[in-house]
Amino acid sequence: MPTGPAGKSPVDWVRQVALALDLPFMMIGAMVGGGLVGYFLDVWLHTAPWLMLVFGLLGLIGGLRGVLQTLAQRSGTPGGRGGRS
Amino acid sequence: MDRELFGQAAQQRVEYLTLGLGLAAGIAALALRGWPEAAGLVLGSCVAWINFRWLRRFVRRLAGASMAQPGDEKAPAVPKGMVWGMFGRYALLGLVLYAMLLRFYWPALAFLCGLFALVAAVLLELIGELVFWGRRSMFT
Repeated sequence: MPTGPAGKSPVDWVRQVALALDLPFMMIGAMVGGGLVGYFLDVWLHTAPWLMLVFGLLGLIGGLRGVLQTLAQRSGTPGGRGGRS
Repeated sequence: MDRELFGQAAQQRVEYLTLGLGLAAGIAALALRGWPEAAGLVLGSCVAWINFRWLRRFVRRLAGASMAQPGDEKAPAVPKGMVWGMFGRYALLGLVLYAMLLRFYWPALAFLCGLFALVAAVLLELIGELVFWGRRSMFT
């Protein structure tokens, strides 16, 4: 089988590029998204800044969980239950 | 499967490209829209850069931790210290961004656009690798 850049098979290479695009947005997107939801709830309920902080924190926890689960699914190691998908 | 995000050199290039593209977009925004948008774009690209850098290091250390437990059929546990360290870093980053949002004015939309500097950098690297790879395989 021909190898791609960095000596990997094309499938592995494309999979890792997808991972490089996926993981950062899972982390920051969840945090920023949670913060935005909290911000709008704060504006609506006049509870600033508490809901923004709480939702941002929840987003951060969710993002971190998502990253760990994605890594586990792709490799079948740390934190993984089901192995490679 | 190893957990390296493509090659080491490519990862370095993506980091530099993220910063470079963010800076270029910031300069363009400064000329076209003014400093708040430029500051938001540059800040967003800096967050994208630091996020990629932290994740890269996290993935590498996680791979190292899993390789340190060979022969274990069951999935080994993720080191708690590593996860808490990651959590602390991002919590600190979130608090810094929140404090900056309170203290200074910077447009959230420009900041969100700045985050996409990483996508542009990865796509640029992808195109570069494909062009270089295609040219190399054509002659070998």
